[in-house]
Amino acid sequence: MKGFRLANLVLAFLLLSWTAIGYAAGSAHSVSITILHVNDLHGHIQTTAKSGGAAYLAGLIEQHRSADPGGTVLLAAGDMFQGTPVSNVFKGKPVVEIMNRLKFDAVTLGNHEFDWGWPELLKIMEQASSPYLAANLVNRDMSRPPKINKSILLERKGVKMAVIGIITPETAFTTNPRNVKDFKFLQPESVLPKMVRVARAKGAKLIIVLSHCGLERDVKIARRVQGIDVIIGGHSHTAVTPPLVAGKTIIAQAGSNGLYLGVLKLEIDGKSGRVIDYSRDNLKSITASAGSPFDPETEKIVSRYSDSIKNEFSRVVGESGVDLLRNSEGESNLGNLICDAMRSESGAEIAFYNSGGIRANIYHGKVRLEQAFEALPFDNVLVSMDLTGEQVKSILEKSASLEIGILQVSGLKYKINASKPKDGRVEDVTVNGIRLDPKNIYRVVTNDFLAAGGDRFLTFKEGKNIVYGDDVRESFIRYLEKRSPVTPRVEGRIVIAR
Amino acid sequence: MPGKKKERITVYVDGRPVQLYRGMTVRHALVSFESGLCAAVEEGGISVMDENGFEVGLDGALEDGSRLALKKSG
Repeated sequence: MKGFRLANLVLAFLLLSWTAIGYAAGSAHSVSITILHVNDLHGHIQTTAKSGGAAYLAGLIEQHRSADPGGTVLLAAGDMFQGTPVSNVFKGKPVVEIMNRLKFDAVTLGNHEFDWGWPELLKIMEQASSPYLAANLVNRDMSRPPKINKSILLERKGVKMAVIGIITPETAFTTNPRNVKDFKFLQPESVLPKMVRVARAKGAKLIIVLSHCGLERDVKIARRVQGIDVIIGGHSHTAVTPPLVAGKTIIAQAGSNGLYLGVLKLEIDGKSGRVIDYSRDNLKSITASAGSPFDPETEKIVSRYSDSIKNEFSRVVGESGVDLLRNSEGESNLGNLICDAMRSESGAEIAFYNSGGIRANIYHGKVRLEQAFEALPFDNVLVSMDLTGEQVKSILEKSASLEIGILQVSGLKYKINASKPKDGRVEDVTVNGIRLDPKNIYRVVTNDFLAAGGDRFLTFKEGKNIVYGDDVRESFIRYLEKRSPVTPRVEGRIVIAR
Repeated sequence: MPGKKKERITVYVDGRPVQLYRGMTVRHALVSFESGLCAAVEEGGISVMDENGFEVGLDGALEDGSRLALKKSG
């Protein structure tokens, strides 16, 4: 009986001192390390109602760094540049300058880093002082792309840590194919096990995966790959607080758009590198409130580019000999021009754009960048797909119901007999002059809003062979730059008989 | 060519299945689910939570099977 009770006591002691994730309380050799992290900034460097912007982010980073200068690491988990006019217009340069000032220890590539094409990404990495990582990104011949490392070895307070970068393999699918045609995106699980082994062999006690794969994928990676201590994530724009634990891996992500700074404090056994404990209150809001830490030097960078963008917006991108007018109830010459640009960019036979997405007229004369932004303020991308003639007609019938603004078109002409009942109003549809064949397959381009079934155009969700393209507005601007002066007309693409 | 094997994903918004193209985001799920939801999220009236209860941004990536819940803010 005594022996039984003793065994029970020993067992109870062992269970109490070991949590489900294997963390134990206290250690004589423990070391505190702080991982500061941001992800999916998407160019949000200016102060807005929702976020303090880069100057307040910088202040917060400095505050945490100065609390433990020898024990802090600063990481970025991808998608830092594309997303706001001030960053897009300058192709990410303001963000690079700010990140250089903040001295990021490592940055992983995100899918949107490829939006402007490889030459622009290369420029960004050449301007950057931080190492860029993506262990699962290779050239077509499996060689390493320039300027991109697989991992980096850091040391803080005598603890060696490996930071391994991973980018989502979905990049190959979600980006304009011409931007990624020279690359392969390998599955993270196919590269990580060896990377972890190599890192440990080099003396790394702590393994950090800097991932741009999304939280759900990070959880799968944690379960499938042994030996990862921490995953710092991005891509799914998730505000992970408290950190998630999958197996023995701690997973964190700091939301998006400059809303949060991730502050993950780890208590590490200095000898073994095992994580003993971690902070639960790990996301700090970046706000422009009184008393919030602020970096005036970063603010100078933001202001310089914010002021410069006013000049950029005045830049002439084209010329129109006629007023470009929108019209939600019929054919519009501005709608024609936008759709022609989409077709030219994508090579599709037919283009559709929702009238509701065209928000301003452009009057004749020089067309300035600002006007392009006003006409097309939404950040839509081109989506190309195969649709049958029958599906195209179904889309036209929905447009002809005139319940929501009419779809603007290019590549086809048709008549709407408004006196007929809905779903029977469309007549005389021709594609490039040839009668629409219900059984034929047509290559159609539209925007991602419609492709998702926006405005209840559900037939767009039935497409096949989906290819994502560039930003619609940028395609329109390029078209204007090449083709100006333009003189689009209302030319009978859509004839409505009432 | 990558992606040829599966072009569509099914995500769930408040338990209801929503079909999307692979590569689409939380924003597209809301556009497909109900008109006006994106505007409500942008204005702060509604938050979108993932299956772990974490808030996700409108431009967050989705996977096949992702589950989202809409929550009235404030």
